[in-house]
Amino acid sequence: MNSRAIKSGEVVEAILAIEAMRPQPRFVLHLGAGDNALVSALRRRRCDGLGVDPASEEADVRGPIGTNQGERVPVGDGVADCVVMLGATTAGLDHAWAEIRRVARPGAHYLLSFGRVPTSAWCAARLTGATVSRRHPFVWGTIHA
Amino acid sequence: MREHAGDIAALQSGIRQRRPAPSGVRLWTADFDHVSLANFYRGRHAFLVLSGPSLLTHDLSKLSRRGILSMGVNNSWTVHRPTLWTCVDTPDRFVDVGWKDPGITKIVPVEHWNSRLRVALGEGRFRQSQFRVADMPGVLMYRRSDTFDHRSFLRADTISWGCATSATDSLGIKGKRSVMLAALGLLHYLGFRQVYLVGADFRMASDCKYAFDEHRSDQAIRHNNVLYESLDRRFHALLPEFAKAGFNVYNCCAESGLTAFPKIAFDEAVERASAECSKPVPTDGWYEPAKEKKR
Repeated sequence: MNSRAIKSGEVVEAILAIEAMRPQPRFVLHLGAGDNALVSALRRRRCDGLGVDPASEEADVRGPIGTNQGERVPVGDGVADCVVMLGATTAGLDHAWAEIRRVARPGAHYLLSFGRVPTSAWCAARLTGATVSRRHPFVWGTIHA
Repeated sequence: MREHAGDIAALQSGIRQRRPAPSGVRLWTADFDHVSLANFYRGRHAFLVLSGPSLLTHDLSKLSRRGILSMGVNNSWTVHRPTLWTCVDTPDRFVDVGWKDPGITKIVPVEHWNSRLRVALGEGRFRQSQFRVADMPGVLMYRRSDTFDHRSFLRADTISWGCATSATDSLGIKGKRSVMLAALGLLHYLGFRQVYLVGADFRMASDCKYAFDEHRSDQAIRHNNVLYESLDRRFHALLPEFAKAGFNVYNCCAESGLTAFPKIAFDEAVERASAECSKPVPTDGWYEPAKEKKR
C-alpha cells in the first residue's frame, strides 16, 4: 500500500463496484482509508463500514493495514462483507492478503486497486477467480473459506 | 404471494427519487441490521428531558399532548416517560423498568449492546439482571466519537459525546464528556429542528442534585459543575453551526447556568410544539370518498 491520496474518481468507481456486488455488502472494511471518503459515502448509500488507516486522523480507526510483515489489522475475525484496498502494491498485498482473509466473512467480496494494472499472472497466482478490470484498474472477487 | 400493484409502482417511483442520505450516521438494531433515520422527524419540535431538579417545577403531563415528542436521558425516564431515550454511560446505571418499556425507543452506544442490566432489590442493594441490552425492546444503537470539534459536530458520521480524558477538543478543552452532547447530536440527525431543554439546570449543589433521588459525593458535584462550564463553552461555539443548520435550541429552565441558548417558558414551548396538532378535529366524513380535486 502506498500513501498516495485516494482520487475522488477512484472512490466513485469503487462505490459503483460495491453497489454492483451480489449479495450486496452491508459492512465494508476499507484498508488504507485516507480521509475516509469511501466509507463516508457508502454510509449515505445504505451501507456501513469502517475505514482503517495507519496515518490519517480522519479514518475511523488509526492502525496498521497489514501491508508490512507481521502487522495485524485492528479488526476482529470474520466481520467484513467486503474488504477494499485502493492503491495497493503487489508486495504490500502479499503481506496483507492473510489479514484480508481473516477479517472477511466467508463468501465476502474483495475490491482492490493498484497504481497500475497488475499482471494477469500475478492475480491468477494469488486471487483465484478474480476479475481484473483494465479500465480502472480494479480487481475484485469473492473470498473463499 | 402476489404483491399489491400500487405498492410496487410507488416503491419504484420512490426508489428512482432516492438521494444519498444527508448524514452518514447509521443506527443498528439489536440484531445488527443497520438503518439510516436521517431526517426521520422532518423539521419537527422535540423536548430534551434532562435530569436537573427544575424538571419537577413543570407540569410534565403536557408533554403527552398530541404533536409533542420527548427524548429523555439517563434516569430522567423515572420522572417522565419519553418517546425516545439515550445514554452514554453503562446501561446498569439506568433503571431497568425504562429498558423494559416497549413504548420507549432507546438509542444506545453500540458498545453496550451486550451489557447486563441491574435490578434494584431495595435499600440501595442491586443484583445483576438476567437480561442484556440486546434483549430489550425498541433498542437502536449508534456509534460514538471520542473527539469533539464544534465545526464538524453536526456533520460527522458518528455521534460525539465530548473528548476522551487525555484528549483536547477544538476549543482547547481537555476531556469532558456528556450525554447532552450525544442527545443533541442525535436529535439533529433525526431531523428535529426546534429543541426545548427541560431540566437543564447546569448547577449542582449537595442539596440540589437531580430531579430524582441519587447520591453524589462532593467531588462528583464539583466535577459536574466544571463539566457544565465546559459544555456551556462548547454550546456557545456550536451556535453558528446550529444556526447554519437551522437547528434551534431553547432552554426552559429560567434559573439555568447554561447561557448559550435563549430561554423560553415551558408553557410557551409546549404551545409552539403542539400547535400543528392541537386543533380540534371533527371526525365525521373522513371515511367518505374525497371530493376535492387531487393534485
